[in-house]
Amino acid sequence: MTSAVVLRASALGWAAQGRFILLDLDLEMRAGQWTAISGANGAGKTTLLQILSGRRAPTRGHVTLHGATLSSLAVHEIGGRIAMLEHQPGLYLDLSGRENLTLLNALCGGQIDAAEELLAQVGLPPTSWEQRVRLYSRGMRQRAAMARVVGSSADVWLLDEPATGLDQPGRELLTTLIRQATAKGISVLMVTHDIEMMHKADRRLCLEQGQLQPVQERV
Amino acid sequence: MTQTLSADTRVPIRVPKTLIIWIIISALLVQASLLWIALKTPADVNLGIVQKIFYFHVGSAFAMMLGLTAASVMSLIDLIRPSDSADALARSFLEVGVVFAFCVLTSGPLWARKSWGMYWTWEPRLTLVLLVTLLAVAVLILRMLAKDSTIGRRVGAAMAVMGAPASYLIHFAVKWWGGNHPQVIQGGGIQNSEMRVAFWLAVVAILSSAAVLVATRYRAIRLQQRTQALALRLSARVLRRQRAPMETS
Amino acid sequence: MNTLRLTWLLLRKDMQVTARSKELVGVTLMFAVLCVLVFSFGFLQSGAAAIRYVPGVLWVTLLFTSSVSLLRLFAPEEEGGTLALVSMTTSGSAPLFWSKVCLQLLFSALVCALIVPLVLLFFDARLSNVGTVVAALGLGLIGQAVVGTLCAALLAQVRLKEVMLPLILYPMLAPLLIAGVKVTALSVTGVESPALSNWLSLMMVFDLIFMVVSPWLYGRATQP
Repeated sequence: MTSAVVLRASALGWAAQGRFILLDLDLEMRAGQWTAISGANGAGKTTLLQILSGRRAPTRGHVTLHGATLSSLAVHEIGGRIAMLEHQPGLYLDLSGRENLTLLNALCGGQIDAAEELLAQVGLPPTSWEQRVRLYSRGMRQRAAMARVVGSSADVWLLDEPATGLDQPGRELLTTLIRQATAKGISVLMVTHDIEMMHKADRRLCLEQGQLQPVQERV
Repeated sequence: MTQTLSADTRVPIRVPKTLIIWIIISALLVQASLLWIALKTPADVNLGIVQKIFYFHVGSAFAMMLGLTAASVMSLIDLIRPSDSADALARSFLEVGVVFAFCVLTSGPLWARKSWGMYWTWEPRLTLVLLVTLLAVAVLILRMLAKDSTIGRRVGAAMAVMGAPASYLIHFAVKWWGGNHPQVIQGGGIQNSEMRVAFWLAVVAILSSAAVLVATRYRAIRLQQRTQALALRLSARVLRRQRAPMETS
Repeated sequence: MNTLRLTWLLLRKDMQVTARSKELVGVTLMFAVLCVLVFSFGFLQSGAAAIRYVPGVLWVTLLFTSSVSLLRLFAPEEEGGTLALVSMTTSGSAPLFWSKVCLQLLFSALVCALIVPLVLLFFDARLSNVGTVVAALGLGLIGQAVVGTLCAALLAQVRLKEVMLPLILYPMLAPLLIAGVKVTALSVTGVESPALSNWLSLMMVFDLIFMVVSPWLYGRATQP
């Protein structure tokens, strides 16, 4: 595992209400690596992903993408390189799944694959393609959101609890999608509470007291 | 726009001597102008003793105008080059501006009652002051209601910047709307030399007091920022110490 | 050029979304009609001097209705969590800002098309120079859309935003309101006055200033 570092966080700190939630946090994400992060509620996992994706500015430290700090990059450059799956699907609820992906494709200048192909890839049945996302179940929304990530041209994926609401085939599909991505050299970071998903990852970290620690394997 | 978290040691904890001297001078100026207005100026021929409100009314209006303008300018600077001191200045100017706006809005109607026979009239300058005051108070509330202080700071600053051209246009709109405000200064209305001295003494006293208020408030906000930065530093130290046994085990 | 294309894409999406939630359009239009009705109850007595109230009722209704639709302006983005995504996909915040301004403009133009005939009908008024009033309405709507979109976007992160939006918006829009009412009043009473062009140019200056200031402030205040 000596592939290039894609995203690097150095001495990251983030404070809220006069208290540090993240402090002295270092992280290296290498190409083709699948990292899973767990941690107690309120440990700052979501905030960490938001900082890594450039949606939030850190209080201390900085994040570099291919050697350039995020704050020096234009937002659309970051958007093109880093794909993020948040709690909210990142889809317009009153547009259909297909329309959402088509819109996104048009917005970023046709860089992503055809909408139908992506929706089929995440296992959404064709009958749901023309349905409004508002009518989707939790799991279906998660799949549609995943289609957005899969279709992006990004080489970093940040996934915030991607397995939420997914059924067993859905989880297996998610694993396959991530494996396919890492095979292409994409670096994947996932936040999850799911032990099964944790164990599939290449690297397991735990966010504790504001820092990432390797998870102690209990046999 | 990240918060500057280095504790700024340039903020002295002791009250600087110059500030104390300045406070004393302002207090003396206010006393002097009060005495002068009470003892030396004659009562107005038409308005009687009520006319004497005028001296403080105009001074407060100056202070309000300068304060709110400076608040907009500092907010603009804070948006372009964020710094804790620009933010603190913007807030101090805004707050002091609002205080004097209320002074204007209380002394104005008292004067108007005697002069025009009613407390309120939809006269351009009154309307302008009322609208600008409402806007400034709204910006002040906005800063408090934001879900986090960085957002409040940005939104408050943006709105303060918007307020400047808006006030300028409100000024024209209400002017053409029609009205009659005493044109005391432009018309060379003050003939009496005692009155002229009283007028300028009051203006200087109020502007000096306003500046003292801004300086004091600025100092308070800066000290608060310093305390917050120090508390944050302490929280970092506590967190690191909590970790220490974990790392050695 | 690219910004124009992105703006159009986002606007088309917004129109699609709005067309699908027809309730919003219907409810807003109903609110506007009710506003007119309530004002009629408040002001109309024996009908004689009714014409005097036409400009006020018209412009205040437009102002109130605009804050109703402004509060829902960014709802599609907030519901789906697409705000950061869109500004990170398009190059910066300008396309999103202008698409929302256009949407608000279309929305208020629709309200206007319903309200103006309604008010004239209810109050039995006639406009002497339609062109000037249309120009004033156009300038007024542009101004409220530009300033309103900025306020709506910035206040998204503020508690009590439903109350705070009018609190900030109404004083700022006062010049437009005053100018609009004056122009309409001159037109309704049929008085030819040189003041007309003064009022229109005031509105134009207002629009121009805020068309420059607002997008800049939006970009500044929403960056991470």
